[in-house]
Amino acid sequence: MAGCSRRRGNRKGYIYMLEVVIAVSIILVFIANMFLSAQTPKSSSLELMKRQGYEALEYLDKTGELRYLAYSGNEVVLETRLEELLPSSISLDTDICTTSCTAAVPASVPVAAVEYYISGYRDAFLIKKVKLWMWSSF
Amino acid sequence: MKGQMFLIGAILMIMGTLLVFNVVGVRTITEESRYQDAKLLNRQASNAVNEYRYGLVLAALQQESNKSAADYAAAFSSFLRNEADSRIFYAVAYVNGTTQAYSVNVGNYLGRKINVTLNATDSTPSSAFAYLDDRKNSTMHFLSGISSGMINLTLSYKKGGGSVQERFSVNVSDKRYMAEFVDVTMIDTGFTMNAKEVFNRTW
Repeated sequence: MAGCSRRRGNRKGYIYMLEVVIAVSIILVFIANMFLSAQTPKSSSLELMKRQGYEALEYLDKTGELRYLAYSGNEVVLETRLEELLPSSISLDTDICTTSCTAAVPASVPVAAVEYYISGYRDAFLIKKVKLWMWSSF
Repeated sequence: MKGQMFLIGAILMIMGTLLVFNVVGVRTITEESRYQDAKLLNRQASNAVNEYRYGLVLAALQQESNKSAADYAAAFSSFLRNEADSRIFYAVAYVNGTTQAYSVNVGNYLGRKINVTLNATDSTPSSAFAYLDDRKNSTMHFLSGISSGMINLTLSYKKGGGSVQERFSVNVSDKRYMAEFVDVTMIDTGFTMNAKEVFNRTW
């Protein structure tokens, strides 16, 4: 009798232990998942993309390339230079325009857009807007 | 019952953490988003001001620098207003270097009719006044009372609900001189960003 009740007591102890392990595992898995998703907050990725795109345009302006490309209207070279500067996970399209700017952007994903103004190149006054659209490739 | 208490405890902890995380997380992302938007708008305002500076430098290269400077400032302001719904006020002063005459062209792109008063030291007249419609500019003419030195200009105009007073100077000498004051306000959803600057060129 004494041996039987001890065995039942031991089994109870195993079940308690098993439940504790399950509870701790649930908490650990949950916390791990929560902090994994916290590292890439989706709603701020567009703002980050905008900042990166604008900084790339500023850089090209400081090197003098953007002014020339806006003057010559060379969107192909502009896109190549921006692709070199921006992360490969970003797809982009540009337009060098004055009023109505257009681009082939996907309708299914969120798109970030930034604009940069140019008022001249060397001794020529011109009014141009360089518009850059960006979206995530993944 | 002891083991079940741990499971219930775990579920309560998860619910609590999830609640706190969502509240804190959403606020952080919203703040970050607004911060990034504000920074971007500030950069756009700086970009606009820099392009006014570029326009002034370009105008100095032209035959009729004063006319070119006024035309460039008006054209660029009109463009910014149309494309970015910006609010702009500018003043371009020109000293020709041969006579003691100088002029100040003021442009209003603030979205409504405004009074502009310009007071000038050592000049005739000592003040000038313009009543400007939106998207219009006007040129005021002065005669310097000194052959060389600085003349201080005080601009007064209405912007938003208040009155603005700004000062800048022109250098009267035997060289040609241009100075430009710009006040650009960029507008985005929910907030605005203002940039003001004075720049000059002597040649």
